[in-house]
Parts: sequence; structure tokens; C-alpha cells
Amino acid sequence: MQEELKALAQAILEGKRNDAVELTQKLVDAGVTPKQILDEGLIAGMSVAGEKFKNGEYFVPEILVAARAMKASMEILRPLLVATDVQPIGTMVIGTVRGDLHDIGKNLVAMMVEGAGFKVVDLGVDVTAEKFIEAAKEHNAQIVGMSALLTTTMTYIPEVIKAFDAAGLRPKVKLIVGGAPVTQEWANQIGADAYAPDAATAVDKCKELLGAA
Amino acid sequence: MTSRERVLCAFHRGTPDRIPVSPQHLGRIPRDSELAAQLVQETDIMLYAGWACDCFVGSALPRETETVGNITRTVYHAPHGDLTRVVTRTPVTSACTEFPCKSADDVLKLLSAPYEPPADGAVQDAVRHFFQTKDWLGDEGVVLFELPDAICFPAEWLSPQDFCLLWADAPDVMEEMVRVGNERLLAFVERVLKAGVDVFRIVGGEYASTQLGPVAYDRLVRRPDKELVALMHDYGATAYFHNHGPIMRYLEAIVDIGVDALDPLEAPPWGDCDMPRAKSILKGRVCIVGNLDDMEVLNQRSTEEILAIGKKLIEEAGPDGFVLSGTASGTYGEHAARNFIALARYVRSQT
Repeated sequence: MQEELKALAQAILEGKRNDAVELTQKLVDAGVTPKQILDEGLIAGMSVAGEKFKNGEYFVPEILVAARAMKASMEILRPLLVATDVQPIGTMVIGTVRGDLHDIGKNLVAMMVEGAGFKVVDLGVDVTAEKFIEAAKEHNAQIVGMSALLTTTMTYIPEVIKAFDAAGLRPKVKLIVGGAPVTQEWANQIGADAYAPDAATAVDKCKELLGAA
Repeated sequence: MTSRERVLCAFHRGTPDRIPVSPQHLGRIPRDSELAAQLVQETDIMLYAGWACDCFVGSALPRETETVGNITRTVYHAPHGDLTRVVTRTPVTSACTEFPCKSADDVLKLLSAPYEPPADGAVQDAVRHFFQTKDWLGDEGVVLFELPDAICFPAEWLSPQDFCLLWADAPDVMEEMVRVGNERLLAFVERVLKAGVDVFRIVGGEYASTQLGPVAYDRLVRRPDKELVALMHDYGATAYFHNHGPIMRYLEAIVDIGVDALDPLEAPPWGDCDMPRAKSILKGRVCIVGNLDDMEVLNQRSTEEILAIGKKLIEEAGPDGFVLSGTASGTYGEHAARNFIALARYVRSQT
């Protein structure tokens, strides 16, 4: 089945949704464990897509179609993963901060982090500190990701960080930030645990934060 | 030289009497403030004016708009079905939260709608705004007519995600949308050119360069924008090109488009500009406008640091075809404004 797993990874990489679904089903029917299909097929494919994105070989459309193919395969795998008690490598709560309505960057991070084997809880846009904290508690998240596109809205990120401090949730919950106006220097200044300039790097950073790199 | 002459000389790859120092627009500085007056007087400022009058969709597509609370919903009645746009406002911003086209079918629906170019009155208003700004500024700088290029048509009618998926799933539909958009844009620009507008600032390239990649850039930006710039040049106008993000791999395409000047050529971490290399590629072909980051550099660093960075940039990118400028975020504040003035004084002291 090694060839089929490789073919599945390739189908994900190329965003071939129908091929991905067909191969996933074939592997399930052949008795390959859902965990192996997830790791060596879906995550393997998304991981190469992420590398290509980081290297400038892939752009947003290629990532979107890869994530779409993975999502279609996950429809088959998810119930099997639950049934066999396979746990995600971590849980991330993510959102665009209060006042900001832009979501493409945040969506890409969510897709790629999910593609790396995390459970991702996407709170959408215009998210308050209270909502981030509530969701982090409810889902027992280890990571919270915050995004802002605008210089006028990025100023809310430090407020969320302060709220997490005040709620006593750190260092249990690691806070990662990103978005067009955000830089590493600024992330350091405001006391974020990590900064990612792009979605592929966000995956690496999330793994690092969990010690799973 | 006047500021206007100095900037235009640089735009056309000449060597002005000194390097122009050009803030882009007034940022967050109130236009009637003393600091704004000082910026205008001491620097070689560029202001943006005019608008494209919804030329991609025109005036014939029936629409209804309703605002309830912080949400404005516009329904466009296309012949093969309605298309809905929702704009949501927050205390700090507003943004489109539902885009009219969600699929290739919606794009075809939009393209099949009747089209009438913007009405004369609307075009005259946009042109009047340009000339009023030009009269206000006089020879103290250059006014640029703001213009989206054809890729802005799909980028404004599909969500960022659907825009990217359209290119992945139906590139022929995307190309057709851009082709139609460009045809309409060219007709609009010709009217504006005939009214005497002489400098344009073309925006939109980054939709392809940062999101879609080089193949899309070639088909959706280089090809249509080349026609646009040729039209401007036919009328003796100047074509200034704005393209955020990593830019080095696109420089040859931008040269091929034929633009006179390019901004903002951001340095890492915001972009990938290697200024000496960019200069060696663009020298004599495209004027470089940039690349002091507005928010993290101009607005944060001390004047001594800014002067040191400015001197280095002048060495690397001057003396011909270079305008020392910011990164066109449009949001710089007082500290950045004072740094621009310090740079202008430094450059003046060197002549």
C-alpha cells in the first residue's frame, strides 16, 4: 500500500480532490489504519505543499486546492479517526482580532495548521479577547492564533495578550501572531510566544510551540 | 527645478538637481495643519486624486442598496440572477464581508449583464477632483490619478479566497473577466486622458504577484497593463505603477509593461527588494520610488537612523531615476512626516 499512500500524498499536493477521495477510500478498504493514511497520505502531501509555498513555488490557489482535497478525504477519515481514538497533535483556536474583518491570511493558516494534523477552531473575524479566552478554555487549546491586516486593528492584539495573562492562561496557552503589518520585532515587543510571516511558517511555529517539530 | 519638475525628471529616468524626497499622500497628517504645509513646502510630495468611476461595471447594471445598522447590502440585478454584496463596518474599519461573485458561474452572470460606461458627469467629477488637487498643490509636487488595473475587477467582485480558487479552477473565466475589465478600463482612461490628466498611479499588481504567482502575473497583469500604459504614453501621460510585496521576480515583467516609475520595492521583511540588484535591473528603464517602510522605519526610528538609511538608499538607487519615498501605506504619522522633512533638508544641503 506504500505506492497508494504516496499517490494520495501526490493527489493532495496537486489538489486533485476526486483522486484523493478515491485513494483514501481504497486505502481504508484495504485495511490501512486511519492514522497511517492521515500521516503518510494527507499530512505528507500538505507538508510538501507548505514547503513549496514557503519556497515561492506554490501560491495561494495551489494551497487552497490542496486543502480542499484534504478536506474531502477527511470526510471519509474523520469518523474512523474518532472511532479509533486518534488524537490531533494539538488544538489551535484562531481568529482575526476585534475591529478587523479580513480573513484570507487567517483562513490559510487555519487550513495549513489543520493540514499538519492539528484540530483548528476558527472563530472567524472581529473576535474579542473574551471570545478567544472562552474558546481556548472550552476546547482546551494549547495555541491561540491572532491575525490582523490593518495597522489600526493590530493594536488590539496586545490587549488580547494582556487578557490571557490576566486570566492566568499563560504559559499553558501559547499565543502566535501574524498579519500583513505584524513583524517579529513587534511580536517580541508585545510578548507574543511566536510570530509567523506566512501560513507555512505558522505550521512550523505551532509545532515548535508544542515541542513537536 | 520645482518639486514637480524634479519628480517628473526622476520618473523619466533623468537626473534631477537633487534626489526628490516624496512622502506619498499626507498619511494621517490633517491637510489644513501646519505640518502638512511644511511637508508640501519642504518635500517633493506626491498626492493621489481622482477615481475610476466604477468603470468595470458601469452605470447600466440595476442595483438596490440598503443599510441596516452597520451592514450595507447591495443587490445587483443581473439578467441571469441577482448578485449580492455586503459591506460591514466596525468602529475602526469597513470591509466587504460578502462578495457578489462566488463562482465562475456568477462571473459569467456578471459579464452577461448590460454595460454602459460611466456617465459624463461622474467622469467629470473624478477629473475635476484631480485638477482641483493639482491646482492646490501647484509646483510643490506631483498629483497622480488613482487607477485600478484590470485584475482589480475580479479582485473586487470575488472574495480573496474565491478569487484564488477561480484562477485555480477556471483560469479561462478569470482571463475573460480581466480582458473585459481591461477593455472597459481603456475606454475610461481614454476619456480621462482627453480631459488632460497627465500622471496616473496604477494599482492592483499585488493581487497577482503575492497571491496567484508568476503565470497569473504574466496573463492578468503584464499583458493588459502593457496596453494600458501604451495608451497613456500615446497621450504623453506618465504611468506610475504601485505593487506591494516581494517584487524581484517580477521586475522584468514590469519593465515589459513599460511603466515609467515603480513603488514601493519593499525591503525584507515586508518584501524582497535588494536595492543594488533592483537598480541594476531597472536602471534607465523604470524609476525606483521607495523604500523606507512607513510604519516600522519612518514612524519608529530616530532621525539620525533615518538619515543614515536614506543616505545608503541614495547611494544604491540614485542619482538618476530615483525618488526617495515611503512604502505607500498611506498611514504614516507625525514622526514619519518630520523624518521626511529631515531627509529633504539633508538632500537639499548636499546640492
